[in-house]
Amino acid sequence: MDKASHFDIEALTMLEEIMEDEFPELVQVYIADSDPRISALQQALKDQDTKQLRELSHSFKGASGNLSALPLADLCFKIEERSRDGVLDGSAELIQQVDLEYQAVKRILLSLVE
Amino acid sequence: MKILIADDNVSDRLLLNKIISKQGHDVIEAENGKHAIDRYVKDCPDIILMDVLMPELNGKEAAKEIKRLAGEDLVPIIFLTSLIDAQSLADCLEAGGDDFLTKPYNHIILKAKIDAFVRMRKMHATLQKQRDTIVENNQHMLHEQHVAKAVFDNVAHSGCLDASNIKYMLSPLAVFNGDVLLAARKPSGGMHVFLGDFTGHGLPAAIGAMPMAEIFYGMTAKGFALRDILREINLKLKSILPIGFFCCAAVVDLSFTKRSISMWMGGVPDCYLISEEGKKLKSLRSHHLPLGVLSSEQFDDEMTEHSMEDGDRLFMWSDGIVEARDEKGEMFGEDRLQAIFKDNFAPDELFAAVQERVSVFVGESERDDDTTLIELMMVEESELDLSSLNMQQGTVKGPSDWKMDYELGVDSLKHFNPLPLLMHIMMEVPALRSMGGQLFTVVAELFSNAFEHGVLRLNSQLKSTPSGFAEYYQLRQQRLDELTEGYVKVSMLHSSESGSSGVFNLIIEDSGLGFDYQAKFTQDPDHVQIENKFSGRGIPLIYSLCHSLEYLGCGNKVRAEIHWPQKIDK
Repeated sequence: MDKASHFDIEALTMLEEIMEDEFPELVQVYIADSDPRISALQQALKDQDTKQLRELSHSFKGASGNLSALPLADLCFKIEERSRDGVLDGSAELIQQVDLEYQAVKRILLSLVE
Repeated sequence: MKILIADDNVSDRLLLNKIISKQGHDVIEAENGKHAIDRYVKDCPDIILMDVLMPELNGKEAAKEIKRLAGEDLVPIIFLTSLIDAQSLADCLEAGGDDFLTKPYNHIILKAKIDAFVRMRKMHATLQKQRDTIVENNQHMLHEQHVAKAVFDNVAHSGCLDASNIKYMLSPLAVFNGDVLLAARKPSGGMHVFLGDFTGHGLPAAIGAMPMAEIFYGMTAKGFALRDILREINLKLKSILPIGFFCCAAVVDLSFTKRSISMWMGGVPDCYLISEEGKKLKSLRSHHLPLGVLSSEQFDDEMTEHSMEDGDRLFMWSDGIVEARDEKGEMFGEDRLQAIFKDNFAPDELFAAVQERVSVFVGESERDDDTTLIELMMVEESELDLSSLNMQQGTVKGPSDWKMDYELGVDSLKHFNPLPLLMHIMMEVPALRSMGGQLFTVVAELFSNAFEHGVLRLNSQLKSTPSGFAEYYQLRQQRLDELTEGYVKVSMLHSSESGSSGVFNLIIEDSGLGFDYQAKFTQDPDHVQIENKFSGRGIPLIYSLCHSLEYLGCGNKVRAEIHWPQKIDK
């Protein structure tokens, strides 16, 4: 598992230090929050709801950034920008990439707390 | 510090909560804008960290509402945002945010910002507290000033300023005025008028004015001469005012019967004497230092005499008139003041003209000194309203049946004027107060006769020629200096019938040789007036004032009887 290609390693280490015992809880909360986001993103795209798409990706971006999952945050940001501009073309592919990236992030995070 | 985190992202809240708790702050959380407002109202957090995009109510709207609720309290709001374009960040501050923090969070910057806002909040609280203290102190001070002003107005009341021969204007700069205007009718007839201008204005000036007014009214009512009053005021001010504080004054002793004024001026602008036709007769210039500067030994109470015909007017003012400034800062000045009196105003309109000219000149600009103006006109005393002469009566009834014997020996006769004391005793009887003028005349004349002709054995006939007049006073001084024995005894007796009428007896006896009163004197006052042989003794005048007057023994004892209420035909 290539941690460095999914996380800012230095920031992740600092995060673990800051959170101490509560790091596992943070991971759990993050995953509990984020799992439904993937399907919600897909639903919003299906509904062509750019507002919903924008809010979801914005929120997902923030949460992922704070967990130092920067590549995932960047992907979310791309969706956020497009939906802000009312563009839906290519969002399907981006959501798919987000899904893949999120699964990788999730696996790594879970491995850290087990 | 209590810090509110408003973020819809649970993981974000968890992370922030952890970082901030580690820094030693208490954390409360809200998951949307609406909830954030509720928590603010309920928990009063010191600092708020607020996500921009939140469901229910977004961060900007919540921030506006919280700032509105906070009013003048400083509740720093730091926006949490992953927005990075300049406009979005600027919008955060526009909405009432105080700062922003971009995601992902850097805990070092977060700590620095929170610390900075903690400092700012403390500073703001201190500032507010100080401001509130100042407001409170100011209100307290104003309240005190109003109470003090009421006391001040009772003490430094305007006396008889409302008399028909006086026009005046007092314009206060503050609640208290640095200018003082006092006027009082003398018990012996005539009027004392006092225009004072203290250095500075407001409370410090008013404090000096209070004892001054007390002395002025108190001593005038008791029959003291204006010179003595000035000395007393000067001494008082000298002892209570700090160095550099004093009172410029123009003081007038106005005699309606002699048609003249006696003036003392210290440090005030020239006063003008205006003729009946409204023409300027002369400028009266100040020759003394202000009151409260010199010690009693150095103080000069010399007064200058000026005759005034019926209808003549005396104008006095504080330097606030001459120094009144227009918008450009130029002073009104003596020339403009002089010019008014050359402009052919009717004499009656002069006062209003001065007021008008100064007021127009000053215009909208801020007044920087007190401006006080008074016009004093010579009239027949009988034209004045008698009510201003009535002394205030206390609730305590005065004495009615009493007797007093008072004997003055050589040393007292040399150095002490007993008239104020005697007046004071008589004035305790309410009914005698309204007769103060004539009582003063009677006591003064009879006492002076007893002293000068009796004790000092001076011949009154000397005074019938101008050269003899001078000789008389020279001799008087000489005998006074050489005096080793003698006395004057004063007896006063008052009785009253049920408070509606009374008899006052004054007996004055001296150690002199007396005189052959029977040869010069019959009990017929008209006869005495025609004969008028009592040069200098003023007997005809006394006669007219008393119910009866008789000399006793060898003529070294005289008894005057005065009845009240007075008969109208008298």
